[in-house]
Amino acid sequence: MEVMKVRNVAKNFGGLTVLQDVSFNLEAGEKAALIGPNGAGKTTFLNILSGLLRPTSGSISFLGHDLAKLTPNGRVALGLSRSFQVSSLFPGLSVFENMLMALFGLQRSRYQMVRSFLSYKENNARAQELLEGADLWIAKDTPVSELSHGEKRRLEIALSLSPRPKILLLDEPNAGLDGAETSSLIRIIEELPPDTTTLVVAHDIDFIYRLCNRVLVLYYGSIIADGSCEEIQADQKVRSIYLGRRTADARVD
Amino acid sequence: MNARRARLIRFAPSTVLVALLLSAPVWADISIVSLLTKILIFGALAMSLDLVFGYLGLWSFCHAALFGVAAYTDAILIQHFGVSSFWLAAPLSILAAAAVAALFAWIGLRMSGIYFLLITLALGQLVFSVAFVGKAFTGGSQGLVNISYPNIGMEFSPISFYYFTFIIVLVCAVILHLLLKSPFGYSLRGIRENETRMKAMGFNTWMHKFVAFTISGAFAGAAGLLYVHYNGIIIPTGVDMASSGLIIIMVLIGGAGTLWGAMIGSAIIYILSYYVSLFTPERWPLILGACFVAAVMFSRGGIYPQLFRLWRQVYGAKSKG
Amino acid sequence: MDVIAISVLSGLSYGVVLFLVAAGLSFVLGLMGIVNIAHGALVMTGAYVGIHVAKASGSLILGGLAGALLAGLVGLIIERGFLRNLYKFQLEQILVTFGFVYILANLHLWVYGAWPLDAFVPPVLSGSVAIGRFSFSVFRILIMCIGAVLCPILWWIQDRTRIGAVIRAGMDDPDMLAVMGINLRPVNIAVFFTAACLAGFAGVIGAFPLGGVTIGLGQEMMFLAVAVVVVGGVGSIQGAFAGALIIGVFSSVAGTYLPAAAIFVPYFLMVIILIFRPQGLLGRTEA
Repeated sequence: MEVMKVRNVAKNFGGLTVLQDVSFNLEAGEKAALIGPNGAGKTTFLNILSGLLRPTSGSISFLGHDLAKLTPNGRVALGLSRSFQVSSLFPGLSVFENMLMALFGLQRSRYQMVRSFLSYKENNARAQELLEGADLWIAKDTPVSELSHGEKRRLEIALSLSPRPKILLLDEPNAGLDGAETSSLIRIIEELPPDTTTLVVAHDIDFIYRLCNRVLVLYYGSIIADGSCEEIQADQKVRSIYLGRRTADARVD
Repeated sequence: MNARRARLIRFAPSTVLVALLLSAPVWADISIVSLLTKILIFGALAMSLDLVFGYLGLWSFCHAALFGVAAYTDAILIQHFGVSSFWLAAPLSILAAAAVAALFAWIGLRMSGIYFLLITLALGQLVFSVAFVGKAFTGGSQGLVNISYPNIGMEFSPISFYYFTFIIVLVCAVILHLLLKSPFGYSLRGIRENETRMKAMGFNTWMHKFVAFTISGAFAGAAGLLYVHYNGIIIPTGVDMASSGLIIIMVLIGGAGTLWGAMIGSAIIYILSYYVSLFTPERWPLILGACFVAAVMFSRGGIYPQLFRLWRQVYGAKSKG
Repeated sequence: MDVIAISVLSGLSYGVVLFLVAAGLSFVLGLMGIVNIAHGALVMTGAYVGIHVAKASGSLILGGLAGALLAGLVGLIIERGFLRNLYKFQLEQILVTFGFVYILANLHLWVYGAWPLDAFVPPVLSGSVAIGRFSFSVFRILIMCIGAVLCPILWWIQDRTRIGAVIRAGMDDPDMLAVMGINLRPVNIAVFFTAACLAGFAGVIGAFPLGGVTIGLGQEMMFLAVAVVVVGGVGSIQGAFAGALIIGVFSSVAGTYLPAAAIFVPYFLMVIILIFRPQGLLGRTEA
């Protein structure tokens, strides 16, 4: 079942063309990766998907809805969720409060003005569940400004998982993480319900191999390759971009 | 130290303060009681500003105008429409202030930061201009005079009005306190700290800002309502940009984003004003200006967090002993 | 017909005064990002001192210079003593300069007393010219001439000189200038000083169209200067000029037909511009 249809999306910033003609479909449950050199437009594309930017042309539909008609928070209500390349948290609040905030995002009770924020038992339980899954429950009362980089990344991902999304956009989730932290990140993502569609922007081939079954290569604004991990690895065009002409002609051993 | 004792100590300062305030007419003379009334009223106004300024991060330069809308509405209802009951005039005045706040928010929230400041400044000045030229209703530059104490079926004296004010301001403060600890209140802090993330989490941030600003206007209106009965007079210069600026300064001096800091800021300004006026009333603006400059140059964050820290230090040390 | 002509001309002379005040504010905001609420108070400072000097010496030129220099000096003290430490803390700048408004206003009250101060009109300028049924004062014509001369000069400095280029570059990208080895600090100070001088000078000559100098002038000028900067746009001479003349003429014409309306004009225009074109009509940078 198709979850997302991207058709001819282009994005210009004044005279600078960042995205030229991006088209692809995503099926439910697909674990796709979006790779490409720095500056290719990957984060711009995610920003368009999540609603922080408008495309200059083209259309995107998500679960049959035209995204152009939806505000960023409207998209979240439909099941879209994203994480940010640079951790986007609430530095003055504690880890627990950050997680609770994410849970309130889609609830009616976010307009509640009388009951205490900390008194919603179901939210507290779910926050605990998510934080334990990210190994952050011990640090629940720590202000986010005091967390380590790795802890912030884990919280960042945990926040994006909290609305039980149908489609999850992850922007370089493992940036700056060491091996152990990356493994625990992969574990968190693997534990998602199987029908969750994910689109991960990443650079690390091993990381992508472990997580994804499909790779899209974005090169200066267009998708130049789209296939399974093995197909992409063997693709001449991709190899010459990443590794240079000479190596591209060498054989894969 | 056990938990019970720790709780007692934590609430000690505020309990003492409330006791002092409640007993003020006993140990203070009438001018001090009047001063306390004024502090409470402007403290309530400053708290209403802190809701959007300290917690939400909106630089609003029109709160004196919102205060004024309620004050003028109340005075106009009493003098021109013969509304005698406080219980009718009061809600209407607060509603008027909230409606104007909603209008300002609807116009101004499409921008942020200094642009929001500028547009609230302009809108506030428009209110000032209306007050200044609308002679028939607002009394023009002379304002409206001879407003007596509220008509709620009892005779007021300065002392009973002080208690009346105390109760109303306390109720406002408690409501604001609860609101700030609620999910809505947290959402305001979230918006100030990271609005993009809030949107990415599903919050309609414009709506939260709009509602918060309207509520803030209602509370500013409550303060305005009390003021017009306290002062007996309302004039245009009480609602202009300079007055709005003064409220911001109270919040900053006391500590933005702490709610009670706003009350402390009001207390500092008016206590200083009172004592300076005893000696050199003509030089008060000079000293006030010097205080603003000093407050900024010497401390960041305001008085309330400093006091809080000081208190923690003193009692932190004791508990280890 | 001549009613309109007179009110437009009055509006233009009033507008020139606003231009002198607002141009400086606009550049200080655009170049240094400083919100100087005390800018209006500098107008008042220049006016009081300048007019007293003019009356004592009988020379408007001397008075104008004195007012300009003193305002410049006070501005410099504020900037070097206090604002330099608050770079980028716009809210704190507002607080501090707000404080200086109170301080300056009260100092003037102390030194000069509360009576409004009449403008100094040198005998040579006290005549008037007939326009239709009305007479239009020669002093106002002089003010318009000053504007007609100063605006192109300032515009020329902005667009055609190296220092103008440095200032414009500094508004767009100060880091790039630093990389190129150009030190913006003296430029910043010079711009701030010039802005303050212009404001002081405006106070001396502007006292006439404004009907005298009062303690409230500082605040009044500040509101209007902010309105001009918002309408005309930040960081350009042409923006300040356009904004000032628009507000000046609209206020004057509105005031001729409906005296009460004049007070609304600047704020009304501000709201319109902020809604539809927040960067101002001819602005260079965002505030």
